[in-house]
Amino acid sequence: MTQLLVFIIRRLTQYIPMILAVIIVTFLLVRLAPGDPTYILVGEVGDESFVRAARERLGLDKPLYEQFVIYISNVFRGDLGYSYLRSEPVAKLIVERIPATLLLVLTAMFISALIGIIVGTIAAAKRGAADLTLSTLSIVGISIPYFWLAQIILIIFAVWLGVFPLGGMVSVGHEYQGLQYFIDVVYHLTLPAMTLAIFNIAFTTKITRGSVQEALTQDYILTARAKGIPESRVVFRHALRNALIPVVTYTGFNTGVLLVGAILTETVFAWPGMGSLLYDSIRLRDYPVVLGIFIYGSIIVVLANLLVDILYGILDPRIRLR
Amino acid sequence: MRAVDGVTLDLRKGESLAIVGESGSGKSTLAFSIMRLLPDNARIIDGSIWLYPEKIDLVRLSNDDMRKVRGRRIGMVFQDPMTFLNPVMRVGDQVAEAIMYHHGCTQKVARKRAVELLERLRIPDASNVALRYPHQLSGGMKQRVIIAIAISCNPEILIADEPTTALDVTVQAEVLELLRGLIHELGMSLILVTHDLGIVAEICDRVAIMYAGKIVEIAETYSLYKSPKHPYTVGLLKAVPRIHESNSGVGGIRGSPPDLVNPPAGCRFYPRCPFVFEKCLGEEPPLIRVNNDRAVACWLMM
Amino acid sequence: MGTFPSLKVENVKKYFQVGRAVFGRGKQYVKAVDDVSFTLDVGGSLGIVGESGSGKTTLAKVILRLLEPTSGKVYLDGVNLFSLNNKELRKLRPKMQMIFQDPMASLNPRKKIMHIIGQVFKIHTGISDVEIRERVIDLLAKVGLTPPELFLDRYPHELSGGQRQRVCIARAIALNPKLLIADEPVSALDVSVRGQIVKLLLEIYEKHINEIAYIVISHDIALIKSLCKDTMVMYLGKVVEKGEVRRIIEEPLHPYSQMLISSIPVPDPEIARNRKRIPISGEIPSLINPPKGCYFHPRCPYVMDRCREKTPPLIKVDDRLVSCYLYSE
Repeated sequence: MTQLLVFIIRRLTQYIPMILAVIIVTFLLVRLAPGDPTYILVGEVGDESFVRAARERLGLDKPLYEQFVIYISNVFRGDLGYSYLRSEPVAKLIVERIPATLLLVLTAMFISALIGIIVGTIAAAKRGAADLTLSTLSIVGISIPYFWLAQIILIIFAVWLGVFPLGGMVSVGHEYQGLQYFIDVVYHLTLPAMTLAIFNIAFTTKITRGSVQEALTQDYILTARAKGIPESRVVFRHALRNALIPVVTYTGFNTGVLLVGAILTETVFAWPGMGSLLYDSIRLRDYPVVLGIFIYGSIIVVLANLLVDILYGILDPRIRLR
Repeated sequence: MRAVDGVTLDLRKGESLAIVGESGSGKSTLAFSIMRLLPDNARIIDGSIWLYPEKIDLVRLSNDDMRKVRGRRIGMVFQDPMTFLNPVMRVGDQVAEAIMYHHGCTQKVARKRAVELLERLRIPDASNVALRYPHQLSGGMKQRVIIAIAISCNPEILIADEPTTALDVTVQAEVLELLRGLIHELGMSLILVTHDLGIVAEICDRVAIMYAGKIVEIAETYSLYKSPKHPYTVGLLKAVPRIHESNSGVGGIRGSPPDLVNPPAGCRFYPRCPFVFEKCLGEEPPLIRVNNDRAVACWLMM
Repeated sequence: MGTFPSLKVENVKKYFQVGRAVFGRGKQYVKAVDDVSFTLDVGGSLGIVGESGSGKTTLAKVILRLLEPTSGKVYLDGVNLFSLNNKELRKLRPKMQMIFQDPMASLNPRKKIMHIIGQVFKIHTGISDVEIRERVIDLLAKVGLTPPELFLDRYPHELSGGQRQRVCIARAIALNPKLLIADEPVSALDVSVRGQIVKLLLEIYEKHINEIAYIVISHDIALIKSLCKDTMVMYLGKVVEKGEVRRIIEEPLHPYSQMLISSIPVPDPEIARNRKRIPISGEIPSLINPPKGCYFHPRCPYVMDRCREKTPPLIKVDDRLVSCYLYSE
């Protein structure tokens, strides 16, 4: 167990510089872009005197390295600036939205991983006609653009069939508590999660299938079969257990992709998460928020990768010793 | 491609039979056929494999029934311990697995038995080793784990496919010694598939020499080494360098192992045979019993 | 002959660093080759015998400077190979050649045999293409690939294992090397084919005995006996015994040599089942933490206190060199 702990700590120390790099890049982007950084941070709000006052307040007239120090200390205190457009601190705006996005993305990821791995494994073990159909479906699944898919799903299930709500996270006007609240959220979560999941299901299926197929050609599968144990155990306990390693890695990388997908999906379904916030902020030119989401998003992706690494260490004992 | 082309063989209870051949001889294919562990592109198209005392034809068994035979009645030891063990599963669990399924016992009981097996295979500190993963063990230890897996359910027959080829010489000697002891203790029959005439001399009672998918000679070990009859056997024995003789191992047999997709007509060995004559090119010699314990497939014998 | 021995290897060491210096634990090394010295005269043939971890292949690569040494010197005809710069080294390459274990991996699968061997001449000599073709044909005939013209346009995968190894040999001797190292030259080949290659190597050796010195590396001492006069037995990067092969087999002095010889399977059931066996104990220890003192002491049936303290020096005993306290005063 301590092996695992050491491994985790070592990985953490590798990731922290990455986050720092993101923060620094954000800082530089704003300050070094052509034009007056004040406008970027303050937005097109207010007159000349307001802008001058803002510039002073934000310390944009100070030398670069001083600004940097202030900036870093702010970021570490959780202060990502102020959205003049919405009259709220950026950090507050974003943090409010994080739970919703996490709920959506994690649900989508969980469902798609589960379905993708099981379907992929069966496809690899069975081969034949079923396999071909699944492969084709996978490719279709991967190729569909999110926003189109989201809208199609919305139209079919919410508008035509009326089975699911048109958007939002909770039903308007009701103040549900406890279990009813839970059910209401799930009800609203279904369509956007399904949309996001489709891409990942297709992707995971494809990766799993390839990986399990490869694993099934390995020598230790012969040893397993020579024991006379049931084929299902050979496939799941021996082949899949080894095949999961690359699958987990890819799934980790996919978090970033899912977060991006979440942007448009949330927007279409009016899901109150970071994604729709980003979309709106870009549209409204609320740059401080955009930059803030940039930082938060990067942190989330890094954390996801860290989790993947940890999982990797659990799955593959050979990694832990290195 | 006919990897194994008309092989008839019997294995007596408690005997060790070697199947010797080079690449393309079909020896490994034969071994895997008995276990019905052939790759997807291979098929047994004819013949029977009889398991006694029930006289079951393994070739005609259903997949489910064959699974009951594997591990329980016939165990297999594989060549490369590095790739034939599951890298993400603890070694003890891999040994316990077959026991759980064939004897229907709990994991705890199976694990205990697994540790006993490892001890029997002279693995020091067996209970700790059982908790390790394959990559933490040395080559010799890994091979012992593979043997433990093969004998875990006390099979009557053990098939070993080049079990020591991937090991160092000193480790090889130890593993062979172990195998020999186990077979006598447990009363198992052994089929040893190998290209190494040295290890055959150490532990086998009878030897079958294969070439291009056919058996060319079968004999009792002592007789075979003393007076080999088939030209291929003669050539093979000459080709092995011996440490106590001078000028051994020089020359080999001319030519190369045959193409199995287009085997030569007639006797498959004729392109390389120093005693070839006309009949060899036209007709394939059948395997004929020469005396009590010897059979040879060669026109020279008739 | 010249005043220098053809090959002089002096205190060669090759250590690989493993793991980083972290939390008080210093840098760890794998001492693949740990202070090896020997000389080889023109016309000499030396075998290097060892199991996995003995360092024999690493030693060969270091001698040819395919790996940079950690310390030591290697003199080929009086020239210190380790002091040459890249350009000078490249010029010397044709004179020191190696034949590797796996002929399939040593040949470029996308090139025809003509190109594979012809390249040697193209790179190192200025002769015309027509002449190159002639020389290649000569070489192919020399290694027994006849009719040679038939092989020029073939690709490696179209040849059998034995034929491929012959191509490798042809390529190695193309420019008349002074030093030829064969690393497990027949291990990847079928038994019936091995003898052919052994015969070929012996023929080449005898034909060039006045120009060439050669080294054969193998785990199979019987093979070395067919090819070499002398041999070194290596264990964990050190030489434990050196002398004539025939003699070492008859009467191995070092306990490891004894263990090794007694483990070799003999293709004769009379001898195999009746001979006295030295019990094998333990396995080759990890290279990262070799035992203190004599590396072999944990497995040695004759271990004494001295053995645990310091590595025994290589001393002359009768017609051999042995590194074992059993034989010192």
